[in-house]
Amino acid sequence: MRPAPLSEADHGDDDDLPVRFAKGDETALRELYDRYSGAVLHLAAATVGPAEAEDIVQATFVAAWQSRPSFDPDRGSLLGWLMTIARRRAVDHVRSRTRADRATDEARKATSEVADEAADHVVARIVIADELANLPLEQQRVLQLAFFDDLTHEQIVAATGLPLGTVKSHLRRGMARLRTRWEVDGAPFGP
Amino acid sequence: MPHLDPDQLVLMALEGDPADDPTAHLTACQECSREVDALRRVAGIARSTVGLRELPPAPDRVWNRIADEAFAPPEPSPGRRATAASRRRPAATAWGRWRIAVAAAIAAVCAMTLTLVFTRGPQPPRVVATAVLAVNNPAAAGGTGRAELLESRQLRITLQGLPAATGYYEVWLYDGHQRMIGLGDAGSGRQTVVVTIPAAADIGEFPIVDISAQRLGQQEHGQSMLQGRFGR
Repeated sequence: MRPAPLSEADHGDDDDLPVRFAKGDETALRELYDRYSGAVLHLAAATVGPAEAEDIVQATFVAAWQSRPSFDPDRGSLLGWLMTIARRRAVDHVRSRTRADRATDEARKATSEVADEAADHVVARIVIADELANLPLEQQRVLQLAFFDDLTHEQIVAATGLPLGTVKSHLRRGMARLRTRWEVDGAPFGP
Repeated sequence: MPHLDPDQLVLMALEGDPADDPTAHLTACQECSREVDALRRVAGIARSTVGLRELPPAPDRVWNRIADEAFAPPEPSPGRRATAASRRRPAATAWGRWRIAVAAAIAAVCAMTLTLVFTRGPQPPRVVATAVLAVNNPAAAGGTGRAELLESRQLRITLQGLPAATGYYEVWLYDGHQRMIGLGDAGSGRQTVVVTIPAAADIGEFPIVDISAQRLGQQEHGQSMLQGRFGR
């Protein structure tokens, strides 16, 4: 099994997958699977648990294929749209499982809320990781040093040799892009 | 009073350095302080994405089931759309079908085995509540789990994707402040275990399930890897 990055840097504006998918190209579904099934599986496992996660992945991609006319490339990313479908399937699954368990109302509500929260959290992480991977390389590197190596902007200047003004502007622009993407694709959706 | 400039807002959010806010503007200005909070949340989520960059795709068996369902020949009755769709069926599907047949045979054998196991065993206990266990430590990146509260006052813990334990993993109940109750071994982090909750412990008081990495012989709580909460 080939590990695929969640998103590759070349998924830029010239990426034709969204258009081919919307047109019903069957090879586009396979590409979508190669690119994003890991993210969907991760979301499903965090929400319904590992044992039933693959069923959610299957249901998500089949539903995505069947409802492809409703995908509008201008309104958001393919990953964000896929996450919306997967999130709804996973949370519904948890709810129906709780009903089948004949749990008390209180336990059922609690379970459903835990699933909602877990799913929101995972979706936010997945879309932000994707956006981070899509940033211009130098900007991406600066943000990674801030996030993962916990460097201050001055330490980033020392580590990269970039001018202070450039580091600050990378941080500002990169953060703005992550935030916009989070607001478009990662914000919680209705029930 | 002039607002903080965008660079200062970002630095406050990332580094929280009061030197970037010499006039203590943030304490007085709701607008800037909301802005910093939003940026902080984004940075917090971004910091927790370690391990998400290289998620391997789901297994091929899942793809086979998707292809079979998504590209299945439509029911013969509804007219035009059906005809158009069946004309487009790819030639490779015969190979796909063969693989699906093998997968189906394997699944059938597994199902029979499971049926045998379940029909012979006692009825499984009822699940009263479920908590999703999420990563609480970068060392656990990619790990997930689920804690199910059974009516038998037991916890069923299912873990997946944790790194192989150097010692072992342990299940704890945590009150969110200072008290923890060790419930027992969670194995190597890749299996399902059932542990018993002491009769004196109230799950309402200890709503948090914690999975820790323990060194052999370590008595106290080790390194927290996953956490989840009941009833929220």
